[in-house]
Amino acid sequence: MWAALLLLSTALLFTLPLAGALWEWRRARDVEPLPIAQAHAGHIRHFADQFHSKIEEEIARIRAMPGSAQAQDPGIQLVEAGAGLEPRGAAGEAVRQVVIADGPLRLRDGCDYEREVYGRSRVETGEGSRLRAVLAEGELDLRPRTVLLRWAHAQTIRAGPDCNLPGRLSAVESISLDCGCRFRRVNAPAIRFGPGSAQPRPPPPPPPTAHDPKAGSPISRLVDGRWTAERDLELPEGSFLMGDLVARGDVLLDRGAGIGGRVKVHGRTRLAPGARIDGSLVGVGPVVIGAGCFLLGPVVSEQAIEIGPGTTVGEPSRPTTVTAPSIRIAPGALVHGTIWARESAEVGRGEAAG
Amino acid sequence: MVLAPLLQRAVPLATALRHSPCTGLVTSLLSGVLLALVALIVLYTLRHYLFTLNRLFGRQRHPYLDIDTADWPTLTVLVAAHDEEAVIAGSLSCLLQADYPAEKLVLMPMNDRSTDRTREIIDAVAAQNPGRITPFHRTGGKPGKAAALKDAMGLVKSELIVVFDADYLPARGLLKLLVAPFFDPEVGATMGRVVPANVGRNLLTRLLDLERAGGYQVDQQARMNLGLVPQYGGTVGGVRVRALESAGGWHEDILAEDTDLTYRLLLAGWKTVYQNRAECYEEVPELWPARVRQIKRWAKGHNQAFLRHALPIATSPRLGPLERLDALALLGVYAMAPALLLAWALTIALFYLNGMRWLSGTVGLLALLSYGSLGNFAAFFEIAAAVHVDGNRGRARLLPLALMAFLVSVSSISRAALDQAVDALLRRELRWDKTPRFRKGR
Repeated sequence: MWAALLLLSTALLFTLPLAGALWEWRRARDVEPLPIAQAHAGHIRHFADQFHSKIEEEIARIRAMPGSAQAQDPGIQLVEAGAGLEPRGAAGEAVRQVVIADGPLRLRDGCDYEREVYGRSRVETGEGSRLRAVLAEGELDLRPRTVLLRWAHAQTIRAGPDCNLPGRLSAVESISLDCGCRFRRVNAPAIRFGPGSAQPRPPPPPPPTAHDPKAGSPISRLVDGRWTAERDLELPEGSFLMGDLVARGDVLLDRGAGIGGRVKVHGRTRLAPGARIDGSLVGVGPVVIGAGCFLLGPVVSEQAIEIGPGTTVGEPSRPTTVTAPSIRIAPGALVHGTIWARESAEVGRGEAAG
Repeated sequence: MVLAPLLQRAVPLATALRHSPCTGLVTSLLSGVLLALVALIVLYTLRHYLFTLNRLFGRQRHPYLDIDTADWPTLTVLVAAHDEEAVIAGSLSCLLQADYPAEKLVLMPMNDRSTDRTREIIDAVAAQNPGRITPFHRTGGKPGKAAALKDAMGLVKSELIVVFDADYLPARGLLKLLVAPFFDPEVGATMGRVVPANVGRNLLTRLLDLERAGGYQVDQQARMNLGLVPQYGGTVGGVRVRALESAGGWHEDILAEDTDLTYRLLLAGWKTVYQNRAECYEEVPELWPARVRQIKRWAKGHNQAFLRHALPIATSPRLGPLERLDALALLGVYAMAPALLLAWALTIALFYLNGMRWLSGTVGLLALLSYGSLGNFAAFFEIAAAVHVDGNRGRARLLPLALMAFLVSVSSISRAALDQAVDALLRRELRWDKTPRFRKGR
């Protein structure tokens, strides 16, 4: 009797801590593999494309309906072409319907559009309005102090001063962001900053002779074609280093200096006005790019990037990415491709970088 | 009943040994070895805690994750296939959907001496997709993935390669995630995260899912965060061809070509980068014997790499102190299983030889208790943190059963180390064991 009790209590003592595990094993409630989006490539236009195919179906359905669309579907507010350009709703009011415009659309000032807005052609938001998502087949004009929460896609996008754009912004042709705009992720063949319109310009040809580091220079050459600098490096004015560079300290490219390859900098990076990098630039520390520089590959920093006026990143035929937790861009800069700030990016009000 | 006579003899023997003049010397020697092993075990325990706490509360580094627009470099995707008729079509089908500029991409399935329908299936998929697939059929030569990769490199013309095993199902966006870090000229290899697809098959697959989660979500990511040595894993990973050549190419005489390459790249001045979001489904073993063979192969390969690279890593001027320590710890990770068994055996022996007096004080007792309550669970803490970060909390309840998988691993790895020692003595060549596939063919 006592022996049996001892055995039983011992068995209980051993199995009790395993009870949860044994229960989960037998019930198998959490056995799905970690979800991976197999078909989703992470494109910036993903949500806009999804919405576009949905809206096409919706428009076809509405057109097939007899009578007023509003009467049929309270979740949709249809603004017909030529029937007044504003959807219903007074300033400061929240619009809780999907707004679909068959022609140009101008939204009221200060309204809160809680669902998607679609315009068959041009869409102009009201000043200080707040939008969830906008898809415009033509131009999208975000008036000053517009807030965009999720995404916007259009042929071209123009954002007035002091817009707050934490949602993703993409355009088929170009995006212009005026001073004081804050954003996180934008993509277009040409992204301009400030009130002007910076035009693409080709980078100047590299100098005919490459820089040859002298004895005593922090640069040493590796057998596999990379230059390395074990301490701080200053590339003299007008010099051009051909090849990749890995620098353990800080790097300064003086006025007009250049590097014909990919660059990795463990410290701070500073490009004086007119400097150029023909490949990528990856900085562990902050990257400060002066006025009128050219960078042809991706620009990455683990801390922050500052881009000066008149600087061009990427080319129309070779778009690229600028990415860092924090990015500040001066008016007059031009980026071909993507800018992606994990925390925040901002268009400055005219002060020069560097 | 059987033990009684043995005990009757053992007790006087132990008593005699305790009073033997050379016992003191032996005890001191064994105590020294045990203390060294304990120090090593504590080091690995601290490493587990450091990685886990960093993953939970530290700054997470994903510097290349957001590069989504670029002039992408030329790339060859190599798919290792040895008798893979059940899975190769699925893998190629996924790769054909990949989001990567077609003119920069070559898909090269490496049919390595297959005796099943692998060749036929590859050729059929290539014929259905003209110009997209460049098959490499290997009919002879040394067995093993590294040997096949070495032969295939003769056909590679691109700047980069990405390697998959045939059972992997790459998502559309995976290639760009694996390639993006190569815009950094310091990067020689990249590694993505491997995610078991057949989790729900049985207890083994569920335990392996937990183990993989700990290894990637915490271990690899923490090494990435801390600037240490993430490991190139041989599949779901990319390599810069220039870096590979500068490190001496693929070595076909090693079972763990991935670990070997990680260290040769490191010694040649190239870094390996881990991309936690570059996730890819794989199939984990569904049978214990297959699992035991797999881990034995990994252990032997890793130990080979340890013997080759430990000294060069310890003396390389290119590495900082923490990077060096982590690199050595990673190299020695499979040596810890036999070390643990040896420590257990020494503890018992020293107990009977009365050699555990150093443990009798308060400090020793506190250390023992602390380790008992924290140290033993360090690896499990890592897994639990990974499961927490992944948001799969239900499966964390299986953790106590992971102890079983741990014991199987310790015994398999120790047997592998013993086999390897015997192989070395008898000058026998190491054999490459293929992990069987469990998915049904299409």
